[in-house]
Amino acid sequence: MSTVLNTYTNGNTTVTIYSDGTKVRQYEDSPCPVHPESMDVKITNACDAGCAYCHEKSVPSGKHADLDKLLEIISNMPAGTEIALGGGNPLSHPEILPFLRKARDRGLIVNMTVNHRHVTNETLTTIVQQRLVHGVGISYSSKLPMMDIATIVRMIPNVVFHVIMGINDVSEVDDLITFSRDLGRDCKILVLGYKQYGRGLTFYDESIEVNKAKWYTQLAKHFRKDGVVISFDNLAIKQLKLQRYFTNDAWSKFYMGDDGQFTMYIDAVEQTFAKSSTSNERVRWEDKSLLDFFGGLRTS
Amino acid sequence: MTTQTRNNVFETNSSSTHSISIAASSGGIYETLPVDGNGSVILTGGCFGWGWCKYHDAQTKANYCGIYACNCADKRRMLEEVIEEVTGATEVLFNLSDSYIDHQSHDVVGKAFESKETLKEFIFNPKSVLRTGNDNDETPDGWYDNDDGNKDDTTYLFSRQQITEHLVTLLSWAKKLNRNDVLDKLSFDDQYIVEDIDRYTDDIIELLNRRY
Repeated sequence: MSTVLNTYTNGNTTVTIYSDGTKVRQYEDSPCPVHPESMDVKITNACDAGCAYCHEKSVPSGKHADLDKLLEIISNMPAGTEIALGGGNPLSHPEILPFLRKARDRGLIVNMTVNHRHVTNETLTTIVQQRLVHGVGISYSSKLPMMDIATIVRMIPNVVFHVIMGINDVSEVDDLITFSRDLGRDCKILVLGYKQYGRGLTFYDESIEVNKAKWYTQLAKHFRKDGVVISFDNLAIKQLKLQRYFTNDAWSKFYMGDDGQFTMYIDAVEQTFAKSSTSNERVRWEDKSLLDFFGGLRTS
Repeated sequence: MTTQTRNNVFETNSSSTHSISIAASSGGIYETLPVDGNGSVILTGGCFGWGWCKYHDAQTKANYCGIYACNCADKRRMLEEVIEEVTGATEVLFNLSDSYIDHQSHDVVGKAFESKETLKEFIFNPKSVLRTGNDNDETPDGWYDNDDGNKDDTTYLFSRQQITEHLVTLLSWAKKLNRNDVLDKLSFDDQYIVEDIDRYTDDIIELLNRRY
């Protein structure tokens, strides 16, 4: 049974986050948040996975962010704010553990995404054992052993499999559901749209569209299955025309907003803010505060 | 007060946000139909007799609509467009040999074809119910109850026979008359009832929807 992790007021909205990840937002009239509810934060550009479609263009020799500076930048964020750490490979950052401890002590709800090939990394085991993060996203690859994932899935209930339209095959959703059920866990999946950005721009070809077309017709059969949670980023929502599956009332209730409405992106390596990771428009930390930047997003 | 909910998942994404989340308990999600490897949805029809049956599933409702619409180019095209839009299929194939709808239920679905939106609601919303029946025997007990035994809040499509039945009930209720008295007053001329229902179908359906 889920318990309340945090409730906070943000402008005219009230947000409650539960231990299973459920977030409930309430407001009168139009929502006017003064700070982001969640931030996607890139803490390193180092990664040895070498994904040909990596939109962050991460490389093994990539730079790490100054995490003390990052803590300073997000110091105004109240307890309950969510931070989704990514990279690069965030586990490769030498200061990741002290950063996570400080963030936890502030009451921030930190979650992290790692590549399937990095799930056996001892640092991740430590992070999960010490409950330094609430949710772990795994960029899933059907080419890598499932047993690598099993250990982490057994350790933490809030594992989310990240799959990319155009890269993963839609049939892999079946595999993930079966895998999770065999482990006695709910299957949580995040469907990401294909990003024609970074290396994703040059990797893109007709086969990506053929793959995406299968997602377009085959994914919905998994909706509302017992023990299955399927979530989407805004790009996938657009590429799948997801609204076709929702009544108007359900869309109003479940659609959590456009990029920049309640969320933003921080590139802590380059020390910039942006609306999302695929935004070309970046603002340097030294030129604007986080709250000013977010306020500008909302009024733009 | 507006309430928005992200179900059962933390924000783990490092490149954009979980903007929508569908769990088993999420209401208001349309069903879909299977699309084969050629991008086709195949309607296989069926036999819809005069028995008292309720159908919630998209497959049966789509098959029913397929039989109803197959001989009318406009309705058939509307059905194809709605199915293609929701499922992402590139074509809809009608494989309806030996399919039929009993004459007493045939007009049930006509209302659904008023617009693409109502047709989508009828076929894909699991709360829309296709009910078939007849006027040769009594409406079964609990016919308008949902699976929990409560009055259903579904928007129904009613057959003419069902409308007749409910018109009687409504008149009893509105005029504070004994049900048998209403029946006596109306049953002297069945033709009158049918004509009247044809004239007031929309009003009656609205009343029924409000009541059930």
